[in-house]
Formats: sequence, structure tokens, C-alpha cells
Amino acid sequence: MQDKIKVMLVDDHEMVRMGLSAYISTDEEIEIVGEANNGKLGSEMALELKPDVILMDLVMDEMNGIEATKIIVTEAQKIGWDVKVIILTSFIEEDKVMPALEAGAFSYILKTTRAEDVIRTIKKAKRGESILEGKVSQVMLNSNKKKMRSMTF
Amino acid sequence: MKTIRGFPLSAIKGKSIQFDLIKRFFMTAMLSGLLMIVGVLIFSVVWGRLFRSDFLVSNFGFDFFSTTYFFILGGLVLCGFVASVLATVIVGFPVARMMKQSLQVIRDANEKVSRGNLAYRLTMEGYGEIEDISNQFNRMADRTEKQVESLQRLVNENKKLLEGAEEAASSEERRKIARELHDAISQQLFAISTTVSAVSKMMDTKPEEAKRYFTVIEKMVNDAQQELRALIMHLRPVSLEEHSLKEGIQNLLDELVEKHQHMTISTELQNIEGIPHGIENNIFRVTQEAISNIMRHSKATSFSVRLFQKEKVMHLIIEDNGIGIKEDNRKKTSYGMLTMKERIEEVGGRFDVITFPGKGTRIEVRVPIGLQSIFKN
Repeated sequence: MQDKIKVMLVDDHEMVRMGLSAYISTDEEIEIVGEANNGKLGSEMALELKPDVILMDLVMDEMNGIEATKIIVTEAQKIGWDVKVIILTSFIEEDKVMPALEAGAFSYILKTTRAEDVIRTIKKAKRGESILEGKVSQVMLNSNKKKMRSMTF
Repeated sequence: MKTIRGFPLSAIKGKSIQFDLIKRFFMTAMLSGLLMIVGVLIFSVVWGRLFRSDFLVSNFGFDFFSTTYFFILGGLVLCGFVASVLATVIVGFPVARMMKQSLQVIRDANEKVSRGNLAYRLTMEGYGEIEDISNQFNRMADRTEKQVESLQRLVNENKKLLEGAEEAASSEERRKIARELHDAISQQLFAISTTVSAVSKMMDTKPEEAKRYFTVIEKMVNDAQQELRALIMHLRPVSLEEHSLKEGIQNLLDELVEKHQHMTISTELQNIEGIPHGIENNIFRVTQEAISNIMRHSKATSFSVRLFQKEKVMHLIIEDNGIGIKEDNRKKTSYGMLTMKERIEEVGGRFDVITFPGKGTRIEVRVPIGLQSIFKN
């Protein structure tokens, strides 16, 4: 049998971490290897635990998710570690979506997603399939349109 | 210009300037007449003693002080007296009446301007000093009118600014509530929904664990509820309406006691007289904000609200036994604190926050009262 997918949670809401780990623990293919409540701790733990997938919140007190993602992805490229950072947040503003994707986030889902879709996104990430939730891709397209328009002038 | 016919009696009855003037004219005329008679009598007696009539006759050819001459002289003096009285009546009265008239017109004009008819002006020509006075009066009225105009313009601009600020504040308030919904409520709902999903999956395989999660879910729902209540309190109409400050705060706390039985709330509220309603509203809003902060962030188990007056200063002290405001949370709280501070400073008061990490927070508001005349308009 294939190894379990190692997942780490980085979120400053204890309740959110608890709910997610409770749900994820019901899936046999996934295991939670660590939890962190801010970006700084999250990136440090990730570099040590080398999980396959990281569920990352964006707005956190000590170091936000974008910074943490940048650090993790840069480090992973250096040492050839295959890690997928999934942004799991309640923010959908352009000023959050674009920097997160530029920082190297693999997928971007919202906290309105159903729990089973979170698991689906984790599994797909492991297989190398990105997921951008409908609204998120809309925001991205709009942002690109704006960029194109500003380039033509 | 006003004209006055006849001689009003009221001018004599009252202790007016006009009365004094006329009386003085009479007195002067009478006194001068009397002095003339007395003077002539004394003069004639002295003259008569010094220069006997036979001496006068022998030297000058006639007797100055014979009865005939004396009567002629006396007649002349009498005529002089009558003439001076007549002169008083003919010249003095019209002058007095003219003065009285002018003064009345000036008095009326003063009255009109002081009552607010700032556009009223005097037209008096050919009266010499009176004309000067009327010109001065007009210049003064001009200045007053201009000053009042600019004052009103200022008040209007101020009002517009205030409205703008109010609007900005309310849109900032909306943003704040949206952020709060985002930060707290939506997280809690997500946590609840994932946990519920987890429980429904565990039911068959791990029923014991599922049961444990039910209590967790209950707590999560309670937390979310409390958060929502605090937010709703924030959204409530923030005006006292008909209530006094004391009543408003009391109502607010009564409502809280009902919903949060685990919270110990102690109060000591004095009725404070003579605070204009606008100021009361500002203080009430600050009270609401402070309590809402306690409910949401402080993790306090008890808090107290004291409202009292010491000399001419109103004191409002809100104290809790919560976690205090941590240094790293300052940024988050600073906006709310700033608006509270601004609201109090707007009404000329002081706003202080004293926080003891791990022990609680104390908010002190001091507002001077008895300055109502400044705020009345």
C-alpha cells in the first residue's frame, strides 16, 4: 500500500485546525503530521517535517501565509523537495490572491469549501493537479485583464 | 426716519436723559432770572448808599436811583427774565425734543440690531454730533453683520465637515464589521462545518470519538453565537434616543446580564444633570464600544461600569479583569481606541486606557460639564 499523504496545517484559528484535523483524520490516505498557528512557526516546522501538502491560511499574526509560502517554496526548489502549498483562506481580494500565487501557492481554496472538497484538493495536489476555486480564478482573470490593458498603453 | 409729534409726558415721568435735559433748561433759565433780580437789588442798595442822590444830581445832573429810574431798571430786568424764559421755551424745547427724538431713534436702532435685525441702518443728516453717532452706529452694525455672517459660514462648514466625518466613520465602521465577520465568524462557521462533516464520517467507525466531538461542536457554536451577539450589539442604533445617559447604560447592561449569565457585571451609575444630548450620545457610543471590546477580546469574567460626577467633571470608568491589551494586539485595537478617543476629545474630554497584561484593562473618560453654553448651538 502506498504511503499516506503527509499534511501540515498552518492556521491561527485553533477551532479551524481542530475541525480540519478531525475531518482529515477520517480519511485513510491522509495523515496530519503537524500544526502551526503562524507563518513563522509553520515554515520552520515544514522545513523540518517535509510534508507533501501544506494547508496555509493567509492572515496570521506572526508572518502571514504569503511570506511563509515564499520561504517554503524557495527552500523546496533548492533541495528538490516536492511540496504543494494549498492556500485555505476566507479572503478573495485581488491583493491576496495574486501575491499568494506569485509566491508559489499550488492551489487556492476558500473557507466556504465543503470539507470533502478540501480532501479532494489535497489528493489532487499530491497527484500534481492544481485547483483554483471558481471565484479565485475569476479574480485572477480580472487581474490579468487589467494587466493586459495597462500593457497596451 | 421717525418724527415725534407733541411732547410726550412719558419723557418727564421716566428717569430718562430727555427729562434731565429739559429740567436743566428750565432751572438754568429760572436761576439766571433770579440771579439777575438779586444782583440788581444788591447792586442798587450798595450803589445808593455809596452815592447819595444829591451827590449824583450835583455831579451828573440827575438821580440814577430815584423811584422812576429804579422802576425803569427793574422793568428792564423783568423783561430780560421773561425773555430768557421765552427763549428757553422757543429755543430749548425744540432742541430738547430734537435730542430726544434722535436718542430715541438711536435707542430703537440699537434694540433692533441687538435683537438680531442686523441689516437695520440709521439715516440722520444735519444733526452734527448726532450724525456722527449714527454713522458710527452704522459702521458698528456693518462690522457685526459681517462677523455674524462669517460665523454662520464657519458653523455651516463645520457642520458639513462633521457630516463628512460621520459618513467616513460609518463606512469605516462597516468595513470593520465586515473584517470582523471575516476574521471570526466565517472561521468559526468553517470550523463547525468541517467538524460536523468529520463527526458524520466517524459515526459508524469511531462512535466514541464522534461523541467527544459533539461537545466540541457545541462549544464552537456557543462561541460563534457570542461573537455574533457582540457584533450585533455593535450594529445596534448607537443613539440614546429619549433616554438619559444613565438609563441608556443601564439598559445596555441589563440586556447583557440576560444573555451572558457567566459574566459578573457591577455597576454604579449616577444621574448626571446638565449634559447636552449630543455629548451624552458620544459618551454612550464610547461605553458601547468599550463593552463590546470586553465581550469580544478581553476574555474577562467580570467588569464594572461607574458613572459619576466630581465637581464639574463627569467620570466614566469601565474596568475588566481580562487579559489586557497585548503589545502585539495594539495594532488591531488601535483603530477602535482612536475613534473612542476622538469621540471624547470632540466634546472636550479626556480618554485614557490603562492596561495590565493578564490582569485587565481600565478605561477612564473625563468630560467637563457646565460648559453647555458653548455646545448649545
